[in-house]
Order: sequence, then C-alpha cells, then structure tokens
Amino acid sequence: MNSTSKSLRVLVVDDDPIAAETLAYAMSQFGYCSEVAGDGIEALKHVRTGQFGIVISDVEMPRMNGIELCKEIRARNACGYTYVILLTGRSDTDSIVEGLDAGADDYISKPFHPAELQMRIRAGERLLMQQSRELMIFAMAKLADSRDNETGSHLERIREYCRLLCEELSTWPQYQDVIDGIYIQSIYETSPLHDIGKVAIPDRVLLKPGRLTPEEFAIMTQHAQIGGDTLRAVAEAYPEAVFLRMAYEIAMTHHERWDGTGYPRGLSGEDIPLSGRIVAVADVYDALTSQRVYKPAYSHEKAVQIIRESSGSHFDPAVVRAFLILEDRFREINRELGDVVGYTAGPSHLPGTAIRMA
Amino acid sequence: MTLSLPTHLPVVDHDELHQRMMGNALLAERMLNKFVATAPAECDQLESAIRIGDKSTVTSLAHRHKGTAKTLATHRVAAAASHLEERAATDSVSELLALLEELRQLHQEVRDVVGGESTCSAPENGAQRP
Repeated sequence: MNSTSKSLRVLVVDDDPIAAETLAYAMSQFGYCSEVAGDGIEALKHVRTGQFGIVISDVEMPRMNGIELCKEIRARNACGYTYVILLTGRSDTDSIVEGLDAGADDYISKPFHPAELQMRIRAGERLLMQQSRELMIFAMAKLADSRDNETGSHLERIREYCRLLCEELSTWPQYQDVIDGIYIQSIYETSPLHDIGKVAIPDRVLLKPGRLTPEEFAIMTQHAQIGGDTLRAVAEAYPEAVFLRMAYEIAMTHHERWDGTGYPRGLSGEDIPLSGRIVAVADVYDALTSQRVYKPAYSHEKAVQIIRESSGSHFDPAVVRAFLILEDRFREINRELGDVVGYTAGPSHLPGTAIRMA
Repeated sequence: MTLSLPTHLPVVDHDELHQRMMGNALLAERMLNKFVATAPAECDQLESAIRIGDKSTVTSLAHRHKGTAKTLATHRVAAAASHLEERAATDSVSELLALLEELRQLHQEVRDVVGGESTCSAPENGAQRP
C-alpha cells in the first residue's frame, strides 16, 4: 500500500531526524498523510490547527518533551479528540504509567515494529471514528430537538435511561442473547434520534401550548412515521451501519403501545422492536418528570406510579419491571441531568399529558 | 571502565534493517548514510558535554543516539550508546571519553559497511586529552 488517500492526518514528533523520517515513511506506506515536528512546542502549533487526529510522539525531546506535549494537548482539547501514541525507548512500568497518566492513549517501545504500529494506529482510528459518529448523531438529534426544546437535557437523560434499562435487562436470561455491549452502545447513541421526525411538524402544532385538537394530534403523530421513514432510507443506503437500523426502529416505534393502541402502525406486544419498547418507557418517564408548556413537572413518585399502572397496556411489562428495579437510579439521573423546575404532584388524570407525549 | 560489547554481532543487522524500513532498500541505504554523516557531529556534541560535566546533556544525547542506532539495527552501536547513557552520571571524564571513543570506532565500522567516508574522525588521543 502506498497511497495517501485516507483523510486522517498523523503528526510525527521526534527530535531524531532518522527516527522521524522512518516513521513518516511508515505512515505513507500505511496510507496516512503525515507531518513531522522536531519537538513538543512545534508539535503544539500543528495540533492547534485541528488537522491531526493522531499524534505519535517521542518522549525525550528538547524544549517540550512528549509527556508535557501530551498534557498540553489534553488541556487544550478544543478541536476534538486527539489520539496520542507515545513512542519511546523507555519501556519500564514507571515510564508507561507516567505517559498514560499524562493522557496518552497508547505506548509503543522504540524502535517500532511497523506491523504493530499500524495496528495501534488503526485502534486509534476506530476510536476517533466512533467519537465522530456519536457527535454527528447527537448533533442531529439536538438540532431536531431544538425546535421544541423546553427541557435542555432531555436527550442526555433519555440515552442514560435507555442504557440503564438495557444493562438491567441484559442480565435477565431471556435477553442475554439479544442485549450485548454493541446493543447497549447502539441504543445509547441512537435513542436521542427518537423524535427526529419532529423537524417536519409545523410550529403551530409543535409549539402550541395546551391540548391539541384531534386534527393537530394527527399531524403530531406523523413525526414517528416521518422520522422512521427517513432513518430507514439511510439504513438501507448504508446496510453495514447496523446502528442505523436501531435508530429507524426507535424513531418508528417508540409511540407504539403494548396493547396495540399506539401509533403509527398499531403494533402490539413483541411485534414492537425491543428498542422501541425500551425508549417508550424512558421517554415517558422523562416527559412526566419534565416541565412542558402544556404541563408542570410531575414528581418522580408520580411518574413511577403512572408507568407502573401502564404496564401491560402502554408498556412492555418486562421493561416496566426493569424500570421499577432501577427507579432510584432514574431519580438520580433526573437530579443530575435535570432541568431546574419545580415538581408538582400532578393532576389525577392525565389525558393532556398522554397526548402531548407525542 | 570499558564496555564488553557484543562483538559477535554484525555492526549492521541487514535483515532487521530491511524489516524496519518496510523492505525499502533505498530508504535503508539513505538512513545509514545519514547516520554516518551526522554521527561525528553528535559525537562532538557528546564530547563537549562530557568535558564540561553536563551530565544531563550526555544522558539525553546518548539516549537519542541509542534510539537512532536501534532504528537502524546497528545493535553494537546501540549497546555502546546505552552504556554511555548509563554511565553519564559518573564523575570520571576519562571513562566517558573512553566510551565515546568506542562509539566512534563503531561508527567507523558502520561507515565501512555503507561505503561512506569519514568526514570528521575522532580526534587523535581524544580519550586522553585533559
């Protein structure tokens, strides 16, 4: 391989010109563009341009050594994450600990073995891609959410609730083959997209205080179909991106109800994808405990009561059981990431609330 | 104090160098030439640091030289540089100059292998100079 077509740029930092040139040559053979800096000070100037995703640095250098460079990069992390690999002749435990403590992601003994270095860089590349994906997904979700964003941290809470529920369910025998680490990471990343279809809902409906008319409600319910259709088209275009399939399922089915009275398709029971059933509980808990233009914030206890009473009608009874096991953790997350509003006990009947959970 | 270097090893391990340079013989040759061209100046820097008693600079320069030598699979040079690095804290200037002289002799062996010519050989009786 001798191309330099990859977009990831690597900064090589070494005061030894022979080592630096050898590394730069290896980068070109691996397909990366690279630049060389002779010490930490020069390297920082390059890093600040935001053009380098990976830095491979020697430790012992004049002016600013690799450890100091690593600390500076972590202290000024303004242009996204920079993956730092320290490359040094000192491979004793104390040196490795010092390097990792300074914020290095990896540590390779000098002289490097080309094949090993390539694999280490690929590991860094995977981490950077994962981070970029998470950022892009969350940015899209935030953008969609910003139109009716009355609860600033709604999406942050939703994904935490979903992760909690999945972690609990993954310990149950019936879910052990379904919910693994990838599933949990996927629902954490994609659950914030559940309401992305709301971008297509007119302001007069989306932002209307108080109860919706039947006609307005019908318009509002379209957001699940619109969001699902959009994400399904993307998932079909990129079938290798498995997480998009889950994003589609969540957007399309998080308003379905266990008893078949939900929307958009009136699915019931286990015909509703598990991810949709999980997000349904997380979304409703958050809606109930958050203040909206059409309702006050209900107390945690009230929200728990409503969800418990809706087990087997609105919600999957298994997910509700998991929720009840975790309710204290939900309360903690709600406090930690909650918006500053006053709780109320809430009205005894909640028709408006149920409608506006759309 | 002198170092018992692994004299049974070739001064340049060509197989390992070939592997480190990812099979690029031209790059290997260029790097070796660069090494023999810059080694005399590095030895001069080391000698200055030894003579003024700048132990941290001796350590640092010897460490870097060791790394360069390892990159180029010149293991006897790396061993000599490593020994100089380890002994940098000694107060014996003559010992360090003797180690440096050994390093210079090894550079000459590398130079002979790559067919280069010395542009800056060791000063005569450098190790004994006060």
